[in-house]
Amino acid sequence: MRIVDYLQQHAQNLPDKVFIYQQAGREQITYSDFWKSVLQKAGELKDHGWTRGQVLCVRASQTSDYLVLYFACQYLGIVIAPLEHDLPANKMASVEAQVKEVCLPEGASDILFTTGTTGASKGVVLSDRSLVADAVNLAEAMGFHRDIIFILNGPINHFGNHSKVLPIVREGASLYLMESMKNLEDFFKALDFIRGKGRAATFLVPASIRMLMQFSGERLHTYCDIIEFFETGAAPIAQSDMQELSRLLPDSRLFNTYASSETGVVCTYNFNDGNQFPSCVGRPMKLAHVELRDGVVVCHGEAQMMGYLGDENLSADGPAEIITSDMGRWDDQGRLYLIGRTNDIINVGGLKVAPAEVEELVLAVEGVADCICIPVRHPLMGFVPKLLVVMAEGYTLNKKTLALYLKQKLESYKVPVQYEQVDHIERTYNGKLNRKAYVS
Amino acid sequence: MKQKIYKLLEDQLPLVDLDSDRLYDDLDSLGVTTILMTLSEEFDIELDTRDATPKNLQNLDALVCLVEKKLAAKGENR
Repeated sequence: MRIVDYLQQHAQNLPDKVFIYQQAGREQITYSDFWKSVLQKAGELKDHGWTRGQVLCVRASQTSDYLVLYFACQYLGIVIAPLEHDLPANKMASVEAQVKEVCLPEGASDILFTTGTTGASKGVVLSDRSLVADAVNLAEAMGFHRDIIFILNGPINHFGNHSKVLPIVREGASLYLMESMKNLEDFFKALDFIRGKGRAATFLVPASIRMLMQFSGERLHTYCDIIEFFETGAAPIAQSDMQELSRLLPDSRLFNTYASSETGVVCTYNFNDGNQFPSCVGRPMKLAHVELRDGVVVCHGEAQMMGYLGDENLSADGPAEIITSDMGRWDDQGRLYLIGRTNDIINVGGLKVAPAEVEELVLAVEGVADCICIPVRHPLMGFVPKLLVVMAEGYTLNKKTLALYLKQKLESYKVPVQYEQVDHIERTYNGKLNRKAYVS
Repeated sequence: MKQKIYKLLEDQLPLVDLDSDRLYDDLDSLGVTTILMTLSEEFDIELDTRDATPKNLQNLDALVCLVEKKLAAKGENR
């Protein structure tokens, strides 16, 4: 069974159950009405000549319209590639060109774009089977059930949010759609709305959890009776934040999850256990296998990708294993701990930035002689990108102009937050950027 | 005070047009939080999510009003 088949089943068996709440709860869409919209959209796609195996690129949004399109594609076997809502036009065109003539294995469903280490985005091809495996893993490890109203508050093209739609549909639960966590009041309005209707759950990156606790911690505590679980992941969460959240929500399950587009959802740890072990991501889930090879985390299982777009090894079965860029260790209870990374990717509150992508653009700017993009610590985000620039003789760095130029070329989270003009950039003996010299 | 806030935020938010009358629209969640954190630290005032409204963050003048209101409330509580 595919995820879309669960949707169809609920439309028949639970027609009046609300699948989606949006517009702060003013708009409610039942499984039955949602399914009708999916069938109508599927008809429109067919009329426009879309057929099985083609790839449809779309700027994704946390709206029912996007989800209707998503499931209409799944229903017809069209592969959907959800992209960043603010993706610049040149990058959108580049992705569309990349997928135009591509031939994908049978069973391909979604393509999620992630940050590659070289700076070029990589398309991760997911299958119907991997989506169902993610749904099973999440539903069983976290306890999704029909009374859950899941607050989806972040970019739906990112795996952390995308993957939560799957167990919601499998279990016949409900989604509460929020545009973002920009206005934290909207999050509390969501909790107010859910009170009396169901049990609240959500996924929040560690930076959003810290924001909530810093500006409204005690207020969050007043909702502890309706919050069934919070999940975090995508970036490390501080032990002090785990402790504080456990204090504020003493009876909720609080998960720190290890997952990626490539591996699927792999492990999770309920840190509301009196221990709050730092860096712990718990035990492997039902359909995931994890091992350490020379300290590097290696995963395989049904939830994993078919492969990367354009890769010659892309296949229906996917790679035999996925060697991640994470370093780990086990404890004697079989719990995995993440202890570092093997590449240069900067993790900005769960969003990944390849410094090479930023540097390539900056080096093309007139007057720039050399540059390096480095991570610097940030009280909320963990790290943010900082740009060090050497200017050619006669030029002076204009931070604002450079930042606005990069904003036109990159997704906003990739644009460096800090800028500094320096005399030279450290390089190794063979001329490569010496990133280790800038590790703080 | 307006100049001081401008200077503080200019360094923290290079992508944001601080002269705009649609400041809130230009911000993302990190931007909103950065403003709350920066103002609460600099002026030793308590800000929470209820203060992060589009009206309070509409422009620099609105931010000055917010800080002045919080400082006045703090003075009254002493």
